[in-house]
Amino acid sequence: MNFISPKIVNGIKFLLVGNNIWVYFPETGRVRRLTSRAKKQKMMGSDFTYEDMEFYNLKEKFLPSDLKEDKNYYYLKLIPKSNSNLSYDKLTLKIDKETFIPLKIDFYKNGNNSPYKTLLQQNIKIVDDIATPMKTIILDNETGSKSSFEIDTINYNIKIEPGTFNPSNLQEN
Amino acid sequence: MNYLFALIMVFNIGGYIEYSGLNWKTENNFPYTCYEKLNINISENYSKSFIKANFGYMNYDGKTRYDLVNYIPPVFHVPGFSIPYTLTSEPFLRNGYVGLKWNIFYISLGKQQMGWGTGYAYNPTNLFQYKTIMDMNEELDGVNSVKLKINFPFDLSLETVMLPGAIIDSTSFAGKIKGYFPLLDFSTGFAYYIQTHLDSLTLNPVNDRYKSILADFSTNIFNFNIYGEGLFNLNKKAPVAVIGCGYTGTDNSFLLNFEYLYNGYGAESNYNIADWLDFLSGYELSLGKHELIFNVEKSYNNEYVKFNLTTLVNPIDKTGLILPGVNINPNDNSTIVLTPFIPYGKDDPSNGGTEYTNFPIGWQFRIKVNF
Repeated sequence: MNFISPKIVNGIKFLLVGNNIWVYFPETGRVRRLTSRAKKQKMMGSDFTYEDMEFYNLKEKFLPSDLKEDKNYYYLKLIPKSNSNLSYDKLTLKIDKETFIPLKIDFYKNGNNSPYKTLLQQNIKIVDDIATPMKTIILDNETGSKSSFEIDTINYNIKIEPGTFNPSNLQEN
Repeated sequence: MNYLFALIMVFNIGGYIEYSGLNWKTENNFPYTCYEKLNINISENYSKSFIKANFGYMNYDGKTRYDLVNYIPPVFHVPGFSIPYTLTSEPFLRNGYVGLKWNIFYISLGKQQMGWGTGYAYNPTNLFQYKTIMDMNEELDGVNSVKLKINFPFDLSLETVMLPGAIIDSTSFAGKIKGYFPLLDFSTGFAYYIQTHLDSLTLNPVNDRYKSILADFSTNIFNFNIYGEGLFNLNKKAPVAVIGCGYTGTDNSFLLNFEYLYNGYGAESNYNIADWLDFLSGYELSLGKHELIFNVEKSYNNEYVKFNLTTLVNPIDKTGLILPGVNINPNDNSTIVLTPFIPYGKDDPSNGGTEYTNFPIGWQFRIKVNF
């Protein structure tokens, strides 16, 4: 992930692979490893954590339960797998039946009954036959702040060279 | 003006304007030195090639003429001995290089950052970048070099660097293999290079050629980041190494860092005038053989306000420098930094002075607005 704005963070890059996070600082040309704990921390002061950016493949980290449905949506509860080492106790999802996109995810932690954070996925577009939420909003229900993540353009099925996600590549433009 | 517009249209252009002021005790008063810096960054990618540059102008005002003799212990002061140093307003090119990518190969030529080493305060393996005590900039100047890097698909990379001199005898070479593994970053390499220091008798700069073995690592143990880097100079038979440990609190607002430097080139005590001048010139990482650095940082309001306390300690002569600081981001593009510096300890003229008691008490502030 390459930050381009605000200007104060322009050029800073992050690479997240499994539990490893590396950051590239353009001022020094140096790549630094962050502690695995950094995954649970806010990304560049936003309401997203680095961990939240990994939730594109939920079945790797969670076990499903309590599937319910109505005319337009599935409702699902997800419990973290014992080895997933996540910050959350539980997730509840509201999934669009047509696209299978979770339109709303509530994140619970510390045994609380009210969600700690809520993620909303909006502006669903079909790109290369894949339903894609172009806007993601995360609400911090404790502080009332929110951050949004918007996709301008996205390409699927592109060829990725071996070694692309080598941290050494962060140093190159 | 048309050229400026053309530049803006063609390149990805940004940068910052910075104002910095410094008061530090010199010659029994507190003169004021300040600068205004215009720094322009340009970068552009063209499929397999790119360019990048940081350049601008630095304008100094206030006291711009110093005598470095004031920063060495009085025991070395003799009538008529003076080391004049002038802060000159001038344009600068901090980085300016071109790069080409081809498959797993990457070559870049020009003035560029080296970025070697895992240390935060000290980087002994970053052999080619110096910083003098009179340099008020935050950044290090790039190094005029040719870098060739091969990024292997299995998380290993080979990096070689050449710093061309006027003749082959003044050319430096270095190379290293770096691996990024799930729990460990590690690199090892070799350097055949020129390093400058001051002759202890004539005090003239001398370029010596050395061969050194280099290594660094960084890993996570529980929630601590353990890192280290070092070199072993095969000619001097001396190591220079850093080991450090960092801890980040759960909410990212609390940071703690500790670093220890063993400088095999440094002196235990009895510093001589060349030791002092090497240190002030940035040719040596430290004056003493052993250095400790502690840093505590606490931020509030999503990192918009940050307090930090850095302490440098020479455990042998028992002197140090305390740097309490505050960093404020009034908005997304601006930074205000205030850093007082407070030396402590007792001077020891019989041993050629102590490392930090001659450092002037003072403070520096910066206001930086990015565009």
